[in-house]
Amino acid sequence: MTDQNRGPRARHTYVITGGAMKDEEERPAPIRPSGTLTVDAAKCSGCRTCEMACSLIHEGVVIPALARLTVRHDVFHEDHPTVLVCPQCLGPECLLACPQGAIGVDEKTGARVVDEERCDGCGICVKACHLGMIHLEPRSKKAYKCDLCGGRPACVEYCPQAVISYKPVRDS
Amino acid sequence: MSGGTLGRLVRVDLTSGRICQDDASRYADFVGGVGVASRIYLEEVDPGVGAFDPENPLIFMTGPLTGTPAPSAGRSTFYAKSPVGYPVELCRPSSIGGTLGAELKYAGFDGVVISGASERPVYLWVEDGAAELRDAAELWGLDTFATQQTVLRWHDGLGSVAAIGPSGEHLGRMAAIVHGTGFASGLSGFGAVMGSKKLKAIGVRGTGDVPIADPQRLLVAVRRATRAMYDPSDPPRMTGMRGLGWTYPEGDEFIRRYSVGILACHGCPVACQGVFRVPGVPLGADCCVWPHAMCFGYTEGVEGWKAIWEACSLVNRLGLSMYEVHQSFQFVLALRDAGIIDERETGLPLHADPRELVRALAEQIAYRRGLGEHLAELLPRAAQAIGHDAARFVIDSRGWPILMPSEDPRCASTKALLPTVGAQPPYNDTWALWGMWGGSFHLPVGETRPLLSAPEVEKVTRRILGDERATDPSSFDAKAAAVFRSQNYRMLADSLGFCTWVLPLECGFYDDELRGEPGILSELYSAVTGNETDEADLLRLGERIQALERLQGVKRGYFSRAQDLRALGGKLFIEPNPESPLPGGVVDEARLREELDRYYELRGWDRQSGVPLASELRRLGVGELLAHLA
Repeated sequence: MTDQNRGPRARHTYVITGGAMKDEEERPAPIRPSGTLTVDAAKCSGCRTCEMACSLIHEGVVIPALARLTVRHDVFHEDHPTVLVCPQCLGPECLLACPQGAIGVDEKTGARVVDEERCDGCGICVKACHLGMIHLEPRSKKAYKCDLCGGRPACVEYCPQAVISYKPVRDS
Repeated sequence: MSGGTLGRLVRVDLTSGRICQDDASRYADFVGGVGVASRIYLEEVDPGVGAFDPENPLIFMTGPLTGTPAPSAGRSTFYAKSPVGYPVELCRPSSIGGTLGAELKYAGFDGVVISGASERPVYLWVEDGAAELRDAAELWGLDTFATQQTVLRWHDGLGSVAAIGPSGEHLGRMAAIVHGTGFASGLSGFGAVMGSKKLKAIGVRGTGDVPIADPQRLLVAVRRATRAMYDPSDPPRMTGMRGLGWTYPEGDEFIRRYSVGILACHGCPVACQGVFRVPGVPLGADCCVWPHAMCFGYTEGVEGWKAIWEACSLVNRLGLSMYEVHQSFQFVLALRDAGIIDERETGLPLHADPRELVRALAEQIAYRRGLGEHLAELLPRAAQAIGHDAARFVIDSRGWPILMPSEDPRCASTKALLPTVGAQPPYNDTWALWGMWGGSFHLPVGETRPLLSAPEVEKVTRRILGDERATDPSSFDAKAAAVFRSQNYRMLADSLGFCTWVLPLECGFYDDELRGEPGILSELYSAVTGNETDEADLLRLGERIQALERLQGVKRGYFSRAQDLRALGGKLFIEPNPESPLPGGVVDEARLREELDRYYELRGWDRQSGVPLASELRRLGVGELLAHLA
């Protein structure tokens, strides 16, 4: 397991909703854990099929720049690529930062997902995510991020080297 | 809705510095890749133009499947008059993998046409719908790795770059265009064409999209094709980690110690390149290191493999083609043994450890020092310059690279037939024929069992090549049809963006349902482009592009019946090769001519002149090409 997938970051001491600090009593209930993608980057060949499949499923065209995960590789210095995936944090910075409450938790997978209806494209979530795993779509200006494809992630399904695997959230 | 292509080209005139966009959709009849590049070249370039003339455009074309998830379709093709041929230069395609082509499509273009020549070193940068020429004075003289890293640094570390090294700058006819640490357009000397244009590198950065006609259908086809190529229960067999030619135990040990990963071209599940971190050698990747090992003759022990790896890395950085260095190496040894050259005169350590000799030789060739001045001109020209009957050590009189001794035309009947009728070095086609269909490659380390059983080989051969005798290397029976069909597949692959090497796998090696069923190609093509095609349609496109390539040669005077017959040197008919499975160890000239006639018939070429017949061009839907014969 690589660092970026180690899940919850314990450094969230504040909750911002609607742009204002809330009282302790109003703090929402703890956020449900999510299913997660784990990456064994040492096995990655850098073929970028995951980026293509991800963007094809979400956008209907092949556009790796809008893929919900990123493969980076400096072939002159690095033994293997780095695969950046959204860890669906236990304390999701994007979700907690959104002033519109437009980021919620998917009922089935637990993925932190954007409600495009509610998103007003302010970009606060983009700044909040320290991993850079949420972005604004250039044309619609709506935020987009990994939604775990509703429980059958395309990156997992199409990776020929079995680099990415999916662990569903436990029902309990 | 149609998909796959973007319908736009970038045109760059290095002489004036002018850059413009052009509509590419009028070439759609020729698919993409080599087909479109050849079509543009046929129309726009005068017959007398030589490889190093500014009027020789270097065309870089992607295929409709490049940059899509269609497995192993991440390749693209460079096309131009190549400096490799002798005595006449030929137009040739030379494909390249990595991420270069895919990235160009994401930047919004199907291809780049680079004409003219710059006075000062420049590099081309294409980014999201725009292109510009930038000063490359600082890059001139750098090796291929340093050039790419510098260009990337200038562009925020993002993008794909292909560059030439010292060999291309010095117009070495075996100069490659190198991309990443191990991807290259290597066998057509296009590095020297870039050098003659003072074009040091081509960099691309794209964040746009490639449209897909039917995404759901494509995803289903991708799953099916990937399953055919890849056995999840035996993954190492199909990757650069093991299997791919590393059939020597010492190679296995080398991998165990120094392999740090695998590297694939864009969208390829096979990942044929192994990544190696060897002390004292820059991090690098390469696919088939074993031909190098065979050629340099030291496969013993891990130290030998390390030395081979060191040579690979040096050759990639100097921007040479490894396979041409092989031939120079063998040639130099032959000249040494015949007493034609000595150490003092050449400045080469002729009697030293081969590792030392390869290193010195590569540097001499890249910088045109000592004997390298001649060798950089490739063997037929070098032999002329050296004199002393050195030409008798040159296997292919046309200067085409022979991969390794087993690629001698006497070593298989198709290897004798192919070079007479194509602009490709023969093994590029025969690999498909012998290696893959025959099932002899892709053996796990230490295993000699062929992947396919004999009846399976027969079945696949019959299905793909039309006749089970097609894989028998000892006779010319059924070879015209085998060559005809395998060339059609090859042209198709090079036009669509497929890897010719992986293509046969894609047609089903692991999957019983798919085994020997190339129908998957038309399924992928139809899903991406929205043009509903079947296998026969696709193969007809391959035929069409092969006819175009023939016309290209007829127009420029390098293809004719007489040239076909001259392709094989006289010694191949009389001097036996002990490795040859052919009767008597030589090529039977009469049988070769017979099979050649049969091949002409299949292609619809005139038996006297070797020119495609008008009726045949019309049948292939490209009667308009006839205008270019006038």
